Amino acid sequence: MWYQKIKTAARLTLIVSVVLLFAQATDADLLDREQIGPNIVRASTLDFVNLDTANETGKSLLFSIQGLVPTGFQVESVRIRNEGELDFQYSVSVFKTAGDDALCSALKFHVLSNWTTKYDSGLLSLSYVANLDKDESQDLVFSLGLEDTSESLIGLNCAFNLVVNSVQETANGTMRFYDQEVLQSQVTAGVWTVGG
Amino acid sequence: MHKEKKVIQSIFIIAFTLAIVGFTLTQSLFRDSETSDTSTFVVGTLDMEVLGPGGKAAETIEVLNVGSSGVVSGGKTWVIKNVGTLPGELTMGIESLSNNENGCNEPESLVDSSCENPGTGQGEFGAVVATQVFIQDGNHPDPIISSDLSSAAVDQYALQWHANAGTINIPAGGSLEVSLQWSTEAQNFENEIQSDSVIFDVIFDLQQVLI
Repeated sequence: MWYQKIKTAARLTLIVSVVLLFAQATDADLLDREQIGPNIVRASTLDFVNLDTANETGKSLLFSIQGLVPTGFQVESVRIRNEGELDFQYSVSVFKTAGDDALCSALKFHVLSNWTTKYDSGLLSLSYVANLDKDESQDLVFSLGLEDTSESLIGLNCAFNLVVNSVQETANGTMRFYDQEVLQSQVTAGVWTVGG
Repeated sequence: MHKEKKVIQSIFIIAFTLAIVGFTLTQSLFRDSETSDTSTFVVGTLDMEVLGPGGKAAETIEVLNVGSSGVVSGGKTWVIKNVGTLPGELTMGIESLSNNENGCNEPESLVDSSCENPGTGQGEFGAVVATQVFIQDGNHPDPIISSDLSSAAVDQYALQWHANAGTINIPAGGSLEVSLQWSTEAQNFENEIQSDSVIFDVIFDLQQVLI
């Protein structure tokens, strides 16, 4: 009986000794923790859309003209709406995608904003820049016409994209937020006689 | 059985005898004793306050319009005050770091295939936010921590503090300024970070210095 008790006590002593040996010293450290948060850093957004000015549905096609003759023209419009959180500057330019250079170069283009002419010159040299603030939209009216009466233009085609482009810039340099929307157009010259 | 019992009894007798002999032989011949009137045991306190510069309340970092002009860098300074009665060792880290996607607008969706909202862990913004931590104690002119805020930042903060700060003790009543600076470089990101956010907690631990 005594022997068993002593044996048990010896085992317990051995276990405690091993624990204390590895613990080396009892740590009763005090600790205080302070938390600063939540900290939030969030990137803004740059986004715009081209809309039909009549019903505000998405718009990707602009002009589709068949049989354009000298003095003829057509009018189209687009509403550019800022759907991002940043004010931005956008540019409008034209790139020929297919067809004949002669007709594309002969086409005349007008841009009106707030019914004020902002551009009035050749189609391919279009360069228009404007600012668009957050939550704002801007309506642009375009007129595409032909003034040149040269017979060489008869039956020619011109396909082009009107590209609305925005790249965010700051005083520290160009930010890499960008958006680009494209309006496709197609023009075919008609038939006419010169000099009656 | 009976024999073992005798052996154990013998061990006890020998141990008891040795204890008596040891106690007797180590007694000093001269003896003096003093009694203090009142003994008081007071447990020390370890307590830390985190304030802003000039004693203002500590501020969190909140920048919600990265990408607009003029807001591409910033920082916060915190004053760590040991208001307890015990010296403490300071460590700093970040926890609860979350890079959220917050969905994608049209420009982002063209270059980013992960567009959930909130999309925890899908955001790319943290990887282009460079942070540096400085200790204003006159001994650490270089940043203690230089890390982005990607998901690996929690480990980076812990590793670099341990490696570069050394032991930062704040005595009772003492204080120390710690600042966190952040910046984004325009050439480091494109549309993939639009609307992304990075959320995190800054943690200060003051641990009792064992004397």
